Amino acid sequence: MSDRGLGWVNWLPTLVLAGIVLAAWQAAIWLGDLPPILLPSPRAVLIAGWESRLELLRGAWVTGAAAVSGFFASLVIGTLVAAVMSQSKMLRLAMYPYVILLQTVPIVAIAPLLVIWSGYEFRTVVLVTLIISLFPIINSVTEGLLSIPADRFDLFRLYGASRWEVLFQLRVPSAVSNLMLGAKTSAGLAVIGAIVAEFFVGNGGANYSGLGTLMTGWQTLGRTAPLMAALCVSTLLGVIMFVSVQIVSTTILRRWMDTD
Amino acid sequence: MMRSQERTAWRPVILKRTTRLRWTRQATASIFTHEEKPVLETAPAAIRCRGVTVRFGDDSEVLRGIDCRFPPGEIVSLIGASGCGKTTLLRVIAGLLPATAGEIDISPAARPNRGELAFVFQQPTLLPWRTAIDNVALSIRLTDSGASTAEVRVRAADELAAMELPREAFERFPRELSGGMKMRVSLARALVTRPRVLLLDEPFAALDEMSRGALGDLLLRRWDSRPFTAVLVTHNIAEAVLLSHQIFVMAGGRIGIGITDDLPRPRDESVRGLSEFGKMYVRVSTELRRLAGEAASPRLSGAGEGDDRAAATESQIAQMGVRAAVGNARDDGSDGE
Repeated sequence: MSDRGLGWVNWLPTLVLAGIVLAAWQAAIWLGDLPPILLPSPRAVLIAGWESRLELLRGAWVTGAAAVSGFFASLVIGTLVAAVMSQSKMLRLAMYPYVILLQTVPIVAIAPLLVIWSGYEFRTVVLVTLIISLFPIINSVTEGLLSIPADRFDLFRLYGASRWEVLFQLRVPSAVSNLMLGAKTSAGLAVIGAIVAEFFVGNGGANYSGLGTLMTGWQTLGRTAPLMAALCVSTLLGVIMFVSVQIVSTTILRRWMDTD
Repeated sequence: MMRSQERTAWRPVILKRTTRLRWTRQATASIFTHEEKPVLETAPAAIRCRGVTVRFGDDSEVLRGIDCRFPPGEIVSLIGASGCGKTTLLRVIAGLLPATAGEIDISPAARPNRGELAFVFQQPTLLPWRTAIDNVALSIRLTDSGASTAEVRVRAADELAAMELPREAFERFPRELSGGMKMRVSLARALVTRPRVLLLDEPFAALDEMSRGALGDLLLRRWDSRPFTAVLVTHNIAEAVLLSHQIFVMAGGRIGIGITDDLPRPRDESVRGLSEFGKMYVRVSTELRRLAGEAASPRLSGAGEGDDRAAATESQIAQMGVRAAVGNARDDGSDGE
């Protein structure tokens, strides 16, 4: 049976699984007699989410804006860095260890430092988001820029194409599928980066109200139900980011499909 | 008429080509020797190979002192079993691979960066993000920076029409084209710059018999309307006999004598029915066996390897004969268009 063209039928197993998880959650509360501060019921989370809907919507807007800004910044900067790295082996050797550092440095450890340097501001959240989502873009795009099929490269060599012609007419279009692959990974990471940064930015008491800030506040007050509602909203935000990139990716890559 | 191979005492010269991409247009042009006398803009060029040797590593000699001359305005086929060095020689002529020793002389100079030397790869090698017409336009853009956008499109469209690609396919992406259509676009991309020299590396190998025949006919018609020097690498004896003026047989990194193919012109698929076609087929096949045996002899290839190599080459030649024979007999080829 083909997976294509079935629409909602493809989502049925996912929805069934979600129903099972919710039922198990509710059953655990009834049978285990768990206090709401430890694990509120799904219904309590839903009610808390509705009651805090304005705060959650505003938080989602702020966090989403930071995540999208950081994500787009990582697309631009990552592509530029990859383009530079593709031009010479020496540059790659010089820059690659620092690119790996972006991936290995614990973002939770560097976020407080960035807050000190950049302040309790929206831009700090964007900066953290940029750092966390940059590596997949650089890595994927560099690979795409360098893995040109030999015949296509020979075609450009034969016609004596300039370095720029090779870059813009061959390497960059060839790397689009890799860029989309990196973007899908980065899209999910961007929301994580924004929320982690907001844990620290929110501590400053500044006029900042992202989902991460709300979560730390409700955690301090012991309000587990709205905390879990914020968790659901932030997860939804990540899914929206990922699906948006997936749709753009599918649309663009339809043109890039290889056929030789 | 047999044309003897020129085994003159050319002194091998190490070519100062590099494998790196030559970024300036002038640099790419300079790898070919120039003649000062004025020539017609698109006059076909003669290609002379003198002692061309290619080694990969210390002991792997792919080409062994190739000496040959491909006359201007002729279609020349290089035929031989897999691994005999045909494609390597073609890539050396194109400047895509440096020779370890020897010299290639193309006269009048065929500057690839002006589109005077074009290459058709085994795969269509189309850029999937460009439409058919934009793929053809690419070679004009890369070789003629002065051409206006309108001029580029008109030239590309004319060449695609000459390749008998349906007009509605001009704006299609490669993924929307059949194998035969893609190869028509690939040929158009090579021919649109009016090359003096056209190098073809088994361009029809992946096509069904009908598409192969149709594209061979098209190539002949394009040559009839505007002659160029073509070097065609093929495994298919029948294809070589049908298309060529001369057929050079290769085996074990060596090249044999140029066999003049004097079947009547203009040619089309009907030539296959002539008795001369069969005779030429047998002659090429015999020369292949002779050269393969010579190349596999212990004196040339090293004791111990000879029998294995001879057996392997013999088997490949037999397969080439079978493939070609099947091709001749088939008239129900699936439509590759």
